[in-house]
Amino acid sequence: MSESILLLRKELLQAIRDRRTVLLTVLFPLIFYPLLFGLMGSIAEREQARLADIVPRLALVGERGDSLVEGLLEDRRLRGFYFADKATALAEHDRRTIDVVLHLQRQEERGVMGYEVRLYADAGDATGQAAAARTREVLQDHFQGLVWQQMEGMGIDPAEVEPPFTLEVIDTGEEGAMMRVLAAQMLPYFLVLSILSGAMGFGAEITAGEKERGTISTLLSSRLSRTQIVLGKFLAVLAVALASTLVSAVGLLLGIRAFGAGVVGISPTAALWVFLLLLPLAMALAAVVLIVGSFARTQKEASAYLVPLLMVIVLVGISLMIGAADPQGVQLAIPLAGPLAAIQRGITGVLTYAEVGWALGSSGLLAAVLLAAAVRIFRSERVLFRM
Amino acid sequence: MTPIEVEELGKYFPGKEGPVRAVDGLSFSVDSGEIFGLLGANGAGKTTTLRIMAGLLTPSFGRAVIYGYDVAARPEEVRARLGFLATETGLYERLTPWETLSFFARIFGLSVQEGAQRAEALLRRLGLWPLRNRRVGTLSVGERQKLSFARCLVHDPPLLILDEPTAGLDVFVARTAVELILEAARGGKTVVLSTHDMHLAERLCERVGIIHRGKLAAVDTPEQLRDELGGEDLGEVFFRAVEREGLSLDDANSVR
Repeated sequence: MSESILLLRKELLQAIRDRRTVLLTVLFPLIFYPLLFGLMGSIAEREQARLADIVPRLALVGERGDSLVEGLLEDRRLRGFYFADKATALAEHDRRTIDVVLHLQRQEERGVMGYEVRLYADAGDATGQAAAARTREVLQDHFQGLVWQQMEGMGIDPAEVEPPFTLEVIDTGEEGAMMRVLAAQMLPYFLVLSILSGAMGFGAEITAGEKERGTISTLLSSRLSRTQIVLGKFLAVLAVALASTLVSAVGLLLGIRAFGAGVVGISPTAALWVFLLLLPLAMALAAVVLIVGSFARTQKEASAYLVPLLMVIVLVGISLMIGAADPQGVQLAIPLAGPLAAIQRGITGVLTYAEVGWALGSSGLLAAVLLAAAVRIFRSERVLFRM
Repeated sequence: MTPIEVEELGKYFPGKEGPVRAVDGLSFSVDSGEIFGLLGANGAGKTTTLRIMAGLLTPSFGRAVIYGYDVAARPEEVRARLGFLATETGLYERLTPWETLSFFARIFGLSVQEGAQRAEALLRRLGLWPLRNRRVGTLSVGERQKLSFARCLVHDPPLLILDEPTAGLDVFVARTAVELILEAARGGKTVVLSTHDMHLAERLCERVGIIHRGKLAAVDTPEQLRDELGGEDLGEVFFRAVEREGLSLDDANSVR
């Protein structure tokens, strides 16, 4: 073991001096994540403010002189434009010069005048949605005005019949709960990506890179056994991967804070769960990187082989992030997805001990099997000297 | 004890049209303090033989016994007693010469203090002491070659296995390499090297083994081989030995 530690120290010393490794594992997450989330937050905030203050460009199609049509045209909360026919208004809507088209048709039912209203808006667009919502709001006010007018015409005082309803919405969530949910959704995905991004380049460098540069023969001719070499390299990859993950977590939490201007409420217990669940996952990924790196002839080849693994992680991570998959209970034994879902549940505080057992047990077992496979592969001269 | 005894050593590699015999029944021995050269063209089987002797590859048949240990059975025991120089310098570019020697000293079981003493002595002797804290990546080819030798010698092994120690070096650096090998032998170390440079072999080696297409065509001192086979130099001797054994001369053109 002490020989493996010597190798680990040598590998880490080289890692610290490798600009690419330092850039990828430390600087990138620490600068990129806060910048990315800060920028996203600023853009989202500005967009929210723009949508909150939106004055929809409204095309009104109806009878000129009609009180509702004229009222809407004069309402300052809208920028109303009168169109005599619906087709022209919809054409303008298609050309994006109009946000909402409102088609009003007067109709009389049971002796009471009313309107049949059709609202055309692009629901697939945030501006269209906000414009439609604002138009509906304004329209409701005008409808209420018309109702009151009709009631007054019937000799009824609207104030007397208006029901005394009040509605107050109270947020029952704890402070920081929203941020915690956001963190639970995003953290596992970004953390596992950080493990791989930290392990990938460095792992390929100290395995396939050694073969490429011919330094592997020097190491193999030393007194170290193949198992000691694999163990030393495994620990080095794991250390870099965990360092990358830790830095990424800090960067991400700073980023989420910048995004939401709030505190991410992750308890120390939840943070401990996250680390415990990540550890065997990081070990398994480090072992995979070693296997692939040992098999590949060059660093470039190793990186190419690792891309599909990255794609799998992205797919699983996104599925969990958007809630397309929600493994629970024994399902947390599923490799990769299980521990990631367990981390989500750990952050939101719904993780059970049984679930911890499933996630830890399965990923720990997987890590052990993969490490044994890495040692076996490293012992194979056919792989090491790729004949 | 004879440091090296190679008996009917052979190695197959998988090929597209069935297994390829890279080394085919080599037998030779090397005495203590001797410089033994394996001469042959590119692809003759020299590197494979040396890699088997260094415990990097396992033989398909036969055996190599180094200081009484069968390489295939006890590779760690063998590796503890040798310094191996591959065709590449095998140095880590982001380490300094001091760190390189300290690291290898430690993994060969030397204490921190012993490693430091050996590293300092070697760096001073090879003129690398002023460069001890510079990254290996910034050193010249000659400085790297010296450091590679120092790396092989740091744990003071009794046996040096050197694969093409002067390949790709300019005349000045090659001369330094030759001096280092001679100095090691004078210091009592056994040296086995491979080369396709007949002049180098003639100058350095007390005995040579001529290897072609995995087979050993002749083993003896350069003088004895010249007397036996005729020819003015070792280059001529090489071709005559190959012809005598009835081996094809294809691929032998890379011999200088």
